[in-house]
Amino acid sequence: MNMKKAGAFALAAATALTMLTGCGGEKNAADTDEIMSRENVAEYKYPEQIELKIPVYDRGTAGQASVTDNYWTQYVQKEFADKHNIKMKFISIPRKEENTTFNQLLAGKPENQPDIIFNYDYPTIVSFADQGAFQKLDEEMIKKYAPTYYDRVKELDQYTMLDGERLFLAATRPRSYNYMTLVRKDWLDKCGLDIPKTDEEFINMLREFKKQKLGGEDTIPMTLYLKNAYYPNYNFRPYPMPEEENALYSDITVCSLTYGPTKEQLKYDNALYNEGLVSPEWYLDVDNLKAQSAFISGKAGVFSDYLSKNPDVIGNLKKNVPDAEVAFIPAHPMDGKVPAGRDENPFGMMSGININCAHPEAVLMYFEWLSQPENLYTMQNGIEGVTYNLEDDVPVLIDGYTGEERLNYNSNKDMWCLVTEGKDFGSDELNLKAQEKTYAPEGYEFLIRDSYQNYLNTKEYLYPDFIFDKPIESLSNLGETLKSKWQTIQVDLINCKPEEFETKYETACKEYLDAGYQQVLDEKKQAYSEMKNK
Amino acid sequence: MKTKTQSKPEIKNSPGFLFYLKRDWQLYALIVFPLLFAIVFKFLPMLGLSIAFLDYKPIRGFSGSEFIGLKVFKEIFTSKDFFVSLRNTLVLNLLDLAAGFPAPIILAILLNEITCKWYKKLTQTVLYLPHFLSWVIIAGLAYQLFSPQSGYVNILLQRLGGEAIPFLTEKYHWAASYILIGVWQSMGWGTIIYLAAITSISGDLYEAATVDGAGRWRKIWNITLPCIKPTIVVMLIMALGRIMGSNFERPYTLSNPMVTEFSDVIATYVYRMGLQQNRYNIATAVGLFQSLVGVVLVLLADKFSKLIGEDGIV
Repeated sequence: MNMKKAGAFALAAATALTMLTGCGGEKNAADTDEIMSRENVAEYKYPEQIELKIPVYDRGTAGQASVTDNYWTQYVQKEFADKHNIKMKFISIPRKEENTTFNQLLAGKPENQPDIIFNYDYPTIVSFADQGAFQKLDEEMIKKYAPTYYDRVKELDQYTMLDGERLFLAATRPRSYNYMTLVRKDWLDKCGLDIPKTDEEFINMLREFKKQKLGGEDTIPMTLYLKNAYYPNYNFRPYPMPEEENALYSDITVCSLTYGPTKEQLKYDNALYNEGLVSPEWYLDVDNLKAQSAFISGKAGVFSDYLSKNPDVIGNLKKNVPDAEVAFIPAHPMDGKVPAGRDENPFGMMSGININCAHPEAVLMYFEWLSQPENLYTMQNGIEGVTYNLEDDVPVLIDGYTGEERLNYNSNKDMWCLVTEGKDFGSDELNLKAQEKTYAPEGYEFLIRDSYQNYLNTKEYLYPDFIFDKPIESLSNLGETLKSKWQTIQVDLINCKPEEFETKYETACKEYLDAGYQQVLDEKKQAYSEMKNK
Repeated sequence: MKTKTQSKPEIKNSPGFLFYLKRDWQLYALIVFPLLFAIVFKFLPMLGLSIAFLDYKPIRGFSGSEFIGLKVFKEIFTSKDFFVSLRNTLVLNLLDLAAGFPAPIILAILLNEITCKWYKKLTQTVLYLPHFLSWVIIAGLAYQLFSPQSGYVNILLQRLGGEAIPFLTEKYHWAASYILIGVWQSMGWGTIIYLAAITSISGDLYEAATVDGAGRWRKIWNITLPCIKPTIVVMLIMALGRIMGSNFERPYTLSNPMVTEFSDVIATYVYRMGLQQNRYNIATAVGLFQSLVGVVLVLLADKFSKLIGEDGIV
């Protein structure tokens, strides 16, 4: 009896152990030579069905079909996968927990892992690469299996290489012009002011808004919200900026607290706060939503966000305040400064092929299918007459269509973001037209034009972030610690009395450097000089 | 069941474990499944604790990650953030214990004194309700009510000519709000166990006391409280075991960057390190440390309980 029980226990323990140890990875990448010898890739049919596992963001948007099983995933299956005897499996990745989810998937069994891992954030994707998550890619193989895709992303080559190895598949990023700062035009008119062109005029306008209480007792001249690690300080940067300064301090993973321009910007915000020109409870607003509702309710004068039809900020504002009018505020530099700013990265989504992926060529075939203009157009716009209508040669989505062919969130973007970050119709004129119809509520198309004009006027002063050719490890080890420190410091420094600012700033810098920022700076400095001495 | 007392010292061949196993095998068989359950779901996962000693990367797995010994512990014990979160955990939990532990007892006694049945039932239900609210909702309500400028309470205070109180945006006020909101949320639910204990007190005792001329206060002090003392002690031991433990949702949702100096507790520290920063080894090591201290605290509480003449739990 005892023996039997011992046996049973041993068995149970053994089962449990195998369950645990089954998590180890085994590598079974396909034999490249054998694959490369295939002729006529477009019509290639796998003799035995293979599975292609593609991650897709789940943003938990209300009223959406399941991101892993909907009309468009079935469309991919039918139009792409069936032709090659592939079974598509989409793996849902919660947008706000993407790193955790990817890490959990990668710690699991190889057969459950997605074939690609992606991220918008360059340091994050680099840290995946650093852990050995990706297969090395062969340029010839990309050319062979994804010629259209290869042509599209050729210019992004420098970002797909790390330490001389090709590891990433980049997506292009066509420019969009829908991020903007809006101002209440009717308030300006009441004050008898023009749209501000300099910082002085801008501040003067805010003071006037406050003085005249245009939004009622608790008028908020300008909305402000709690910033993440990215704290724009370009107004105070030197121009042209030395490359090393850009390398050390341009970063959206960690705030450059000790950098002079950051201090200036904090001081500037501190002055605005103490004068009562910004949202009094800005530090409780982590996602700009309180700011948005203040603007919609007619209490706020200046508000920055992405213009979009959903939520329709302007439409809702007009419901609350029928005679409200809005206008675009262009860059308004300080005295003697240029209108500098951060340029977007030239790439969109960055993907890598999982080291455990047995069919990297199938991944490339999928990228190729997505890149082909007619497929991409359908994925981005759907079916003519059902999900979109052509107006002046640009497809305009039909608002509120709820049939099963409806596109997933943001024109199916989470599906085609692998190859591009936006809709590109081939010319600035068409792109602008499309963006006007996509983002601007009716009657406000001029906002997109103004934003585009502002881009043309300032583009020579825009800096993209510096990209290192190897991972900055301290960023991935300390980023969150520093972010949480920075948010506390940010509130403290902006909300303190102006005369306390200097001492508080000194203490904060010391604390911040001790908490790890010194390490980040040292590592960046070293990586930069190594890169330059190559 | 036979017990040890029956095997007197003079009997040489006291039956061994095997003897009992053979005789009562059915009983032993019954315990096998719960035991297996505990082993598979409680003990085997402890293998994961090895993460604390590895430079753990999920992609490389357990075997592929480099062994780094106690390096992680060194990093934790030299980190200021960790000690701040440890201090906050202890202080907030102690305050919670001081304010939150007596509350349900007092409330249970109060409820017990209500004679109108429907009123008592209604009160009980209303008091239970907050327990079923998620912390996210409670925090949302708290910020609606207590925000410095836009909170209803502060608007009211200012209209009445008073000053706004920074309930949630100044660290000492925040700590008080944190504790009181916690008491509000949990005290109703906590009364259940005490009410059950009070119900089981024999009515004879109260009758006898009434005959002797005892008033309500006397009866509470000399009958109710002594009768529920064992329950109180067991609850206290369990509460002490949680002193090192830390709830995540409550500090996380109630926190804001103005008060992180007080609101960052071990759970939020582990969340930041483990899930946001993907430093699983730090999160595991902190969890391990937390559990070890928790075990020690429970053992001490148990000793203490036996010392004051109550049943322990070990």
